Amino acid sequence: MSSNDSSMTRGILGEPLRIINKLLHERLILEYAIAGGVATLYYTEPVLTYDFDVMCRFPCEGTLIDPSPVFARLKEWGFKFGTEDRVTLNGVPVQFIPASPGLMEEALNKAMPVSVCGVKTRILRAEYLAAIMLKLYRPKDRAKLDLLVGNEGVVFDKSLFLNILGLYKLAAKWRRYNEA
Amino acid sequence: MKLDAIGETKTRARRHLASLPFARKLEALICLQQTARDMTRASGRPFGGVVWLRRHNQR
Repeated sequence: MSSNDSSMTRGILGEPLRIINKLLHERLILEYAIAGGVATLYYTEPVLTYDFDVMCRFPCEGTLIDPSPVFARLKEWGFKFGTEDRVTLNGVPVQFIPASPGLMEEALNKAMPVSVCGVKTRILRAEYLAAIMLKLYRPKDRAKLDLLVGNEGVVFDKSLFLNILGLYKLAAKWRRYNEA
Repeated sequence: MKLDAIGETKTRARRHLASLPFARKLEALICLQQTARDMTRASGRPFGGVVWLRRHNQR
C-alpha cells in the first residue's frame, strides 16, 4: 500500500461510525453493534470481507420492523444505495442487519463497548459471533467460525459459548461441526 | 523443517496476527481487498467486491 493509499485508509471506519452514531442519536436506530466480517477481524487474524455489517434494533410498531426511516435519512444526507440495501458511507459499503428475536437479539444486548478509529461504538462478543456463524452455517460463516475457534490468540470464553449453544439448541450442530 | 515445527510456526504467526491492533488489521484488510481486485482483473473476470478507499468529497 502506498503512503497516499495509507492516508486514505487510516481511520476508514471512523466516519461511517460517526454517521451511524448520528442515526442512534436521532433514535432512528435504538441500538447497534459491529457484526460480520469486521467483528471477526477485530478478534482474529486479517480476513477478507467487503461489507461492514452492523446489527441493529430498529424502532418498531408491534411485530413490524421498519428500517425505512434510516434509509430515508441517509438518502437525505446524500448517501447512495447499492444492491441489497447496502449504503456506501465514505467508501465503505454498510449493511444494516435487523437483530431477529432470539440469539441475535441477545448478542446485541450483550455487545461490548469499544473504541474504533477513535469513535465510541459496540461490537458483538466473540462467543455470540461464533454462535451466529454456527447458526447461519454458510461456507463463509464456517470459514469465520474456523478462525474464531481455531486461533489460540482469540480471547474466547468457551464455557459462555457452550452455554449459548445450549440455550439456542445449537449443541448438536456444534458436535457435527467438530466431527467434520 | 518437520511438519510439527511448520504447524507450530503457523500457529504462532496466527496468534501474533490476531493480537495486532485493530487499525493495523483494517489496513491489512484493505490490502487483501486490493489484492483480490488485482488478481480478479488480471484473470479477465469482473471484480464484484469493493475496495474501501475514501475519496475526496465522497459521501
